[in-house]
Amino acid sequence: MSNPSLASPVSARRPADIADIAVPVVLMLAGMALRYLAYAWVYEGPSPAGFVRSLCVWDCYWFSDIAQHGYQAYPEQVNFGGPAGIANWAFFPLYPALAAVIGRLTSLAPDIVGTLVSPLLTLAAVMVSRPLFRENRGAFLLFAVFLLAGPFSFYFSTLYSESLFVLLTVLAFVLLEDGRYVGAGVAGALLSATRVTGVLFVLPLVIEAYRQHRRDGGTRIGFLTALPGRPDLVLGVVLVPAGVVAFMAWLYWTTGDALAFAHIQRGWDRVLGNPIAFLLAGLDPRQSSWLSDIQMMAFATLGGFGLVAVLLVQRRMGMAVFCLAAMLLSLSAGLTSMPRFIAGLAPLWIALATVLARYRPLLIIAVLACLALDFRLTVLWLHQQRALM
Amino acid sequence: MSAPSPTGRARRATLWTLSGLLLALEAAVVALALMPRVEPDYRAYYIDAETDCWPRASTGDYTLGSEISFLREQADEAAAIKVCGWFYPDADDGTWSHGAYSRLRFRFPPVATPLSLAITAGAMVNAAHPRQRVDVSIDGTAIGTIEFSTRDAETRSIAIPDAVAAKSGEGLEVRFDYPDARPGTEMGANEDPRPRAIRLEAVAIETAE
Repeated sequence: MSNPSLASPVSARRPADIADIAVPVVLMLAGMALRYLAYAWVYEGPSPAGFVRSLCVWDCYWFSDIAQHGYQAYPEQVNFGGPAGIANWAFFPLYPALAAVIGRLTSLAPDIVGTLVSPLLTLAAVMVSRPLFRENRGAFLLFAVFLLAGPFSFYFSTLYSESLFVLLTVLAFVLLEDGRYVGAGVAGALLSATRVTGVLFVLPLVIEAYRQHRRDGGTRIGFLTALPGRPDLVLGVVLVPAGVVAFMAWLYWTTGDALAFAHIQRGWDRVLGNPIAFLLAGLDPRQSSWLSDIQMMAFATLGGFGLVAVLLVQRRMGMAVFCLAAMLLSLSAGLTSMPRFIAGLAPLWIALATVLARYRPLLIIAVLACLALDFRLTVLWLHQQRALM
Repeated sequence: MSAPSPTGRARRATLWTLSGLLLALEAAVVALALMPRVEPDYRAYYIDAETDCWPRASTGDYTLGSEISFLREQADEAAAIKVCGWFYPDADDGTWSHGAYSRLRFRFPPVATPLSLAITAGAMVNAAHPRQRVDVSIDGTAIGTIEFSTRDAETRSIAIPDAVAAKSGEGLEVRFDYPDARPGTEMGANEDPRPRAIRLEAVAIETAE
């Protein structure tokens, strides 16, 4: 069965509509106002500077450190109590580099830059995503709500790389569905310079090229024999790892270890293991309390896998494989931060928005729930609830 | 099928050239990844995982006779003397040992009286592995072995030879080796595959009365 919506370049199908721009802008402002209200709810004597500082917790420190001082040459020997030997190499360079450049141009501190730039990058992601929804405006607007004023919008509102990752993911898929493989490869290279899971974009690139080949009447084996005539596809594939490879080269130059970004995980006491075993351990009912932080992380991960299944049903194979591989890779280091990693996988939100937008009452309920959860989860984030780490 | 135009051929040649160059660069960096140029300590800890000890720059500053808590609430006290081989501190359990050995550092003015090291700890034990031995050495000199046989904390003391104690002004490097360390997965205590031996609640160096 062919998918008629994929038969022509997605970017050529519909003209831009003013509402497609205005509504996301309003949502971005509404989301910021909601999160400020949450902050004012938690802290006495609220102020814009206090809002910026309060949102900037956990990894925000590391991004700020890289933006101000660059990468370390050697691991820390003073630690916060664990097995020791941490360094900022675990954090990929594109987002902190962007924050550093903007910080130099504006003389603003990194946490302020993050609070200003991240929502704009997220807004850009929403704008760029419009072709992926084709005629389904309800789903597009719901996707905008998810990102700009939804449960996990706080991740896209401070000095964290989620906003850039979402933008580049959406851009890469738009270009891919247009059949612009070199462009998709460039976006993939930027993606893999933002987070290691970005390198997995090579999978959807090959999958979608194969599906296009089959839609054009090609045979299975013919896909390989046609490759010599498809240098654009080959270059696209080769481009995707360029981001992570450039970072590896930099790490080798700075530290002598091109894989320092992976090796340094030992300093955080994170060891690679079986992702399913980590998930099952998190779901173990013999926890100290019902809905412990680790259980919440496990349930969020299950939710992510559920949305991968939805992508498969929607026949968005490239997106499904990308998200599945990214989740498994992240999960192989344990459940910590899984809600954040899942929140940063834009195709999962696209899948959910497409399902909920089918039924108007459901869509309305989803919007209201998002706004309420934006407030509630921001409060938990400000309280540094470990499940959201 | 028509032959590509000269412009098309040039474009293809450009794309193939770029692909080849990029692939060669990527292969070169991957090759570098297989040949790290790092110090032996770095390689042993991060790459080969042959040791669980990445030494912190702990001051070791210590007031003779004071008891240092390893419970989470007093984490700052312990941070000054912890060197390596410890998990994050826990509110109830204190701080579990991590791996085959742990290290502490104590620096205080030398005194003329004999000294002893007092360790308050519980152990990773079960019916099959009922004891955890701790081989204690200071600055490379073995000073004895103590045992813990219950998960509940007990206090054990071990005398510090005068010749070893005399170097306290430069800092005493105390090392605990755990020949019986076992992972929680094997002992049924937790899902952690890394070896543990004792959970340290407090430590002190005392003057013998």
